Order: sequence, then structure tokens, then C-alpha cells
Amino acid sequence: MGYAAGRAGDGPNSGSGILLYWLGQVLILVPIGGKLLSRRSLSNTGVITLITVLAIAEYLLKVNYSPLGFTFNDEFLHWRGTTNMLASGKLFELNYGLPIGTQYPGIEEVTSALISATGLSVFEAGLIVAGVAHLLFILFLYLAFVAAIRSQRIAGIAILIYFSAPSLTTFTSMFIYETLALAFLGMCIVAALRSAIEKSPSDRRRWFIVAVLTIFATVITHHVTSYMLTLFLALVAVASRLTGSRKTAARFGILALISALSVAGWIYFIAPDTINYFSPNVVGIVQSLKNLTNGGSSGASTNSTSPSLNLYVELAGLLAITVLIAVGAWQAWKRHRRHPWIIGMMIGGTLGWIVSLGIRLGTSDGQELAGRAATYIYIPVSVMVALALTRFVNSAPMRRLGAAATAAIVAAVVALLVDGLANGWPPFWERLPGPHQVASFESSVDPQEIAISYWSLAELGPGNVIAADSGIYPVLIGYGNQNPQQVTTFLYDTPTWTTAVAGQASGLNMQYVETDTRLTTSLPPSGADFLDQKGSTIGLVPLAYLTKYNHIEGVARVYDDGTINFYDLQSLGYVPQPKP
Amino acid sequence: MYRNRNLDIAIATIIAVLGGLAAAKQLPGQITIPLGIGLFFAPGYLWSEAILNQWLPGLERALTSVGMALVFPILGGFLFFGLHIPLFRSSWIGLLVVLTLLGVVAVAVQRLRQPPAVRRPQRPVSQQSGRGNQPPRRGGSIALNSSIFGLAGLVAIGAVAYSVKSAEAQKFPGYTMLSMTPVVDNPLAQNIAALSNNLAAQNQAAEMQNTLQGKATQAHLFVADHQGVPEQYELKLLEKAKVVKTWPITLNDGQSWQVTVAWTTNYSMIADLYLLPNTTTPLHYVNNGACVTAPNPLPVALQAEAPCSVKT
Repeated sequence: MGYAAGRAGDGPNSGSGILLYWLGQVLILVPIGGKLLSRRSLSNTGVITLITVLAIAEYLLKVNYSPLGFTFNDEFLHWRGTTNMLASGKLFELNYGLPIGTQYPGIEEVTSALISATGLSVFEAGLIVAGVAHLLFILFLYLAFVAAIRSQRIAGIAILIYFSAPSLTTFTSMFIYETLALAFLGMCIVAALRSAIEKSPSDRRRWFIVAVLTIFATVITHHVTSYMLTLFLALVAVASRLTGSRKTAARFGILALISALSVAGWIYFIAPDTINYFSPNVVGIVQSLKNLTNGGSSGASTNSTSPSLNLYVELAGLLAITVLIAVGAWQAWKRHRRHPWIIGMMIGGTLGWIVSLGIRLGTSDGQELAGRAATYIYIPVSVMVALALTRFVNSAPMRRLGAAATAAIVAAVVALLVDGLANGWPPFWERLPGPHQVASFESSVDPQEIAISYWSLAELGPGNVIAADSGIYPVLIGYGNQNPQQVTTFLYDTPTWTTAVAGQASGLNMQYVETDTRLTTSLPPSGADFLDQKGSTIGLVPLAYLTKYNHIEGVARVYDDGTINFYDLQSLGYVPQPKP
Repeated sequence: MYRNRNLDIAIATIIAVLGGLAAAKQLPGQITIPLGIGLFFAPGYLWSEAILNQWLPGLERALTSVGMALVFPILGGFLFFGLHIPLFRSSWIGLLVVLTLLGVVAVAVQRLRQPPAVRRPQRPVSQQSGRGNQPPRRGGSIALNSSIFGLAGLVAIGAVAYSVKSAEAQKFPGYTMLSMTPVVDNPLAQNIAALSNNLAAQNQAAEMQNTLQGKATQAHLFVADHQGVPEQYELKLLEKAKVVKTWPITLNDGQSWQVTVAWTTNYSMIADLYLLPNTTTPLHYVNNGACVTAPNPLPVALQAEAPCSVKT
């Protein structure tokens, strides 16, 4: 109803819509949190049911945000990848929006197989694959937590806490390669645990086979998840060695080795671009952290566009989790120091959290990077927090206070979950679907942008190099199969077409320029009209900066719908030009 | 129990074969979708049965079956890639059917090898905890829980349906699309794989596009109505600033219209679209980038449409 109010009214500015949205979230989170955190005994089936309901409810919220087609930008990239695979029958068909993604074709393969078997559309099949993978991940994670902690209740609380990871409910529920790979990561962790704890050698062998198969599937599906899986397996191997579980250490060590070799082999033979893809990020993070430790400026953006309330809630959440990790780590050391999984999670969670805080506070893209990394870091973190919370709930003073104390803890945990949702994705300025907003990710995806993208494919052909604002950019990649560029501001920040601009456009092989007159009347809530404007928006674009293309001899105006125009720069090459 | 212990294999086989046939014959969705989903998940079920113990507890059995069903297309697709088998619809269906049938054989062999008496039920990993003792189930609470979760399911389905309805009913500003694009068949641009992130290939394709576009002799004139209501339009094609052709066009919402016209860049071509009854000010216009020869003979209302009307 919140989403419907947004669509019918002012989008994220709809007061009633926002109220209904958060009320709906509270109605989902409070009963589940209350049940899991109460001291009443809860059956295994009860816990599983609660976390299944939580995962499905949050997934359906994501589906309901855009129930007629994909609008989350990353999903367009995989929509295109799947469509290309279905059309060409080949793996590794390059994709303009996500060249690296084509070298990790797992989700496209699964979706293509499902479409071939059922005749569903890419959107419908994508929703099924993403939904199933998301639920699998959460449930496998629960099984892994139970095997590790040996308490269904703490495992259930850990899963609840895991939902406070920013973007969990969107980035790991979207039709993107990470969503599927996470399901394999969860399955591999459970299979690896079972391969170590089963009594029968035959059962251990069988689970080992499953673990190896899921390692291969993870490596083919998503780069970062495969690295995290390798790291996790190695970490448990080390922790097992430290705690004296030699057999477990050996088994996890072998799996870590298989995973590492698979990753290395995949990068070497199939996906060599992975190194170039990650190099700038790694170098940037290292440099920023180095600057920070040297007392210089990290280059971290300080002009957060989030409302101050979101910021305070986020800071309070970070502080609360930091304290709870410390308490949880102490609990782990005090009570479970002979237990390799818990000690592994203690080490991984604590170190991961410190690094994540460093990235968040110390690097220029810290907020986004930390948000993405949270999917992995929160796995051990949520266990530590759950250990701390359980200890707290069961403590004598809390017992004396009774239901009131439990209610306070439930409220605190729900606040933590709300913090994750409020500071995750979609951001506050597109919390609810609604009217079009310029250059603003999901809220820029309207039927008009979709129709233009299909038009571009039909009339211009695929693969054209196009200058476009950041709103239509992902749609042109997805539905249009075009090659829009990120470095485009220079085409929109001058009132006249100069030799320098023409030279730069020619050097980049720019074939078409897209203009949207809405950029002249509305500021982008995302802060940037074009993808190469990081923190340096040019504000409202003067109309003359866009209409200059109407007056250039040789530049054909090939498309007009009153708002969006396309200009053909190629015609500069053949339309007769005046002699100088 | 023992008598029916191979029933699952039989069901999986029948679903897989029927699903394969339905998908191959492209039967209606009501038949293909449920059978296709069965075909998709059948290999996962059978192979998780074959690889793991038959008596794996419910949740773990279900999760590993679904997980394996997701693993197989990935590994199978990669195998096909290695064998140079194109991954078209028939290949995927073939892969799933073959995996299912092989799974049937594997499970049958497994069960023949291991008589049922030897297998023992396992405690699920989710119950392998000292503190995981299940409280006794009470009939009343089961009924209450079932009704609550049934209600939750209904709310979820209702929420999706309501969301679909509200998204369909969402109002967007109306617009009309007009384009004039030369008809170019650029084989280099079609080879998308060669273009992506390959500057040399992009250069080559752009040059080819440039050449071909310069030599194009035909163009598509395209109009599409998205005003939310049927509209009447008039499209005028001007060559050297003179109207050479007029098309009256009536379009329903979502309907499009297209015509192929002769194309050149040696002189000015402008297409003006009017939304009737207004026949004086064009709603939209497009052109071929060529200048109108001076002095500009276009009517004053249209003079700005000529690319060289303003000195820049």
C-alpha cells in the first residue's frame, strides 16, 4: 500500500506512503524479532518458518517495487546477458554494461535453462531464479549457523541480525550474479561443515563432492563471492588447526585449495579481465587507507546527501554493532574457544568489521564499498552479535526485568534492521516508486525510457556508442543493447559546439548524443546528471547546452519525443560541410 | 513405505519426459510452465538423492535438491561450451532431460546397492545441537500456526497482485515518438562481442557505419503514440524546404507507424509531425543534418528546424 501510495502520488515525498511503508516493515519485523528474541523455547521448524517468512516477505517487497519489469539498474545488465545468450547460444557474449559479468555467466546459464524449459520471459524467470537463490542462501546460512553454534535460537537471531546488512534485501535479492553465487556459498559452507562432522566416511565423501560442485558453480558465477568462499574455507581451516581439530583443518584446507585453484584457473583461462576490473578499486582503497593512516585526507566524500536522521541512525547502528561484536567475541572466547567455526567467525568477523569501518570512513567510495562488502562481513558479524544478544537476554538483570526488557531488546534490534533498510538501497529519495526523477537510477526508468531503448535497437541497430545521462544509461544497455558511455559531461556543459568538444567526441567514437530537457528543470536527487560527475554536479543544465545540437551543420536530429532527443554525430562525417 | 520407495524416481522421470516434450513442442504456458519447472528441478532432486544419503532430512533434502538444480545448468552449460555445442533452447532441454534420466539410473543403482534396512534416518544438521530438543507438538497450535501462515500467504499474494495493479494504473506523461533514421546494415556493428571494450573494433565499426550511412539510400520514418489516448497526426516530409509528401496517421495508444522513404544527405530533409487539429506548429521534427540552402525558404515557424539556422 505504501508503494501504491507512492505511485499514485508524490513517490518518496508521499507522507502517507512512507508511513505505510515503514508500518509494513515494522509489521514484518516486530513479530519475527519478538518470537526469536523471546526466552520462550522455539522449535527448529518454528525458527525455520520465521526466517523463511522474513526472507520471502522482504523479497516480495523488492518484487513489488517494480512488479512489471526490472528497474534496478544492475538487473538490466543481466537481462541483456541472458537475452544475448538465448539469441546467440554462446557463453561469454560480451555485454556493454558489464563486460566482466560475461566472464561469469552462471546466472545467465541458469535463467536460460529455466526459460528454455518453461517458456517464461527473462523477467519472470529472473524473478524465480533470484527469489529461489535468495531464500536458499538465507536457509543454508541458517543451517551453517546451527551447525557452527549448535543452537537454533542463536542461529535464528543471527539470521535476523544478518538482515540488518545494508542492501541485503535488494542487492542480494536482485537478478544479479551475486545473488545466485551467494546461494552456492551458503550451500558450500553447509556441505563443507557436513563433510567434516559426519561420522560415516562415506557420508563425508558425499558431502565433500557436493562442496566441490558448489565451489565450481560459485567460481563460474561471481568473482567476489568465490574469493570470499576461498577465504572462509581457509579461515576455518586455520581456526581448526589452532583449536586442534586436525581432520577438519585438513578437509577445509583441501577445499580451500580446490577453491583457490579454481579461482586462479578461471581468471587465467577464462576471465583475465578480472584483474583489470578490480585493480583500480584495490589501488584506490589502499591509497585512501594509506593517506588516512599518514594523517592526510582520504578523499572520502563528506557531503552526504542522506537526511541527518538516517545518518544518526547509521552511526548509532555502527556503534551498537561494534560494541556487540566485542561482547560476542568475548563470549566466543570464553565459552567456545575449542570450537573452530566460532573462533573462525570471531576472527573473521572482528577483522572484517574493522576493515569495513576503515573502508567506510576512510575511502572516497567507502559507503558503497562497505555496503557491498557487508553481505559477506555480516555473516560472522551477525553470529558475534547474536552471541552477545543472547547473553544479554539471558542475563540475570534482564530476567528480573521480564517482558519489558525483552520488548526493549526487540525494539533495539528492529531499530538496527530499520537502519539497514534506511541506509541500504533504494536510497531515501526513491524509497517508494513514483513519478520520474532525472538521472536517478530506478526512478528514472519509465515506460518512455524503455520504449526509446527498444526503438534504438530496432532503428539504430545494436552497439552504438551513445552519450546519455545516467537515468537512461542502464536502460539503453539493457533493452537497447547499446554501448552508452560514462565520460560524457563534456558534451553537455558548453553552450556551443566547439572544435575541442568535436575533437573529444570524435576521439571517443561518439556516434549519438541523447538529450533530456528534464535536466534543465530538475536537479538529480542522486547528485549527478552524468556518470562521470562524482560529487561535482553541474546543477541545472541550461537549455542552450542541450539545444546546441539543433544548430550544428551535419548533425542529424534523428529522434524527437518532446523531452528526449537523439542526435547523430556520425552524419558529421558525410553530410557536406561548408568549406572553411 | 518400502513398496513406494521408488515412486519418486517414477514421478521425476515422467515429469522430466513430459516437461521435455511440452517445452520442445512449445505447448501452451499452462502446460509448459509447471512441467518445465518440474523438468528444471528434477535433476537436482535425483542427483542429490544419488550423491547424498536417501534419508536426508526434509529441509536439507529440499535445499540441496534445489541447490543442485541450480548447479547443473552452470556446469552443464560450461561443458557444452567446451564441446562446442550451442546453448539454444533444444540444448538446454536436452541437457535437463539427459541429466534427469542419468539421475534416475544413478539413484536406481544406489538404491539397489544399498538395501533400505541399512539406511538410517539422520538428524538434520539443524537439530544436531544439544539444546535443540523439540517441544512436543500440540494439535491446536499446529492448526493455529497453519491458519496464520495461510493468512500470511494470502496477504503476500494479495500484496503482489495489488502492486501489479497499482503499477499498471500508474500515470505517466504522454509522449509521441518521431524518428527518421537511415537504413544501414552494418555487419561490423552486429558483431557485438567484438565491439565491447575494444576500441579498435569500435573505431572500425564506427567508420563502417559512417561510410554506410553516408551511402544509405533509404530511411525509416517512424511514429508511435504513447499519449494514453488515440491521436490523429499529420506527417510532412520536406526536401529542400518543400513539402514532398504528407501522411495522415491515426494511432491508438501504444500503436506505431513506419514508412520507408528515399534518403539522401546531399540536400536538406526535414520531417514535421503535427498533432491534429494543429497544423501550424509541428509537435516534433527530425532532420538529416543537411543545411537548407540560403536564403532559408522555410516558413518562419519552421526556420529553426534547419540545422544551420543559428550561427554557433
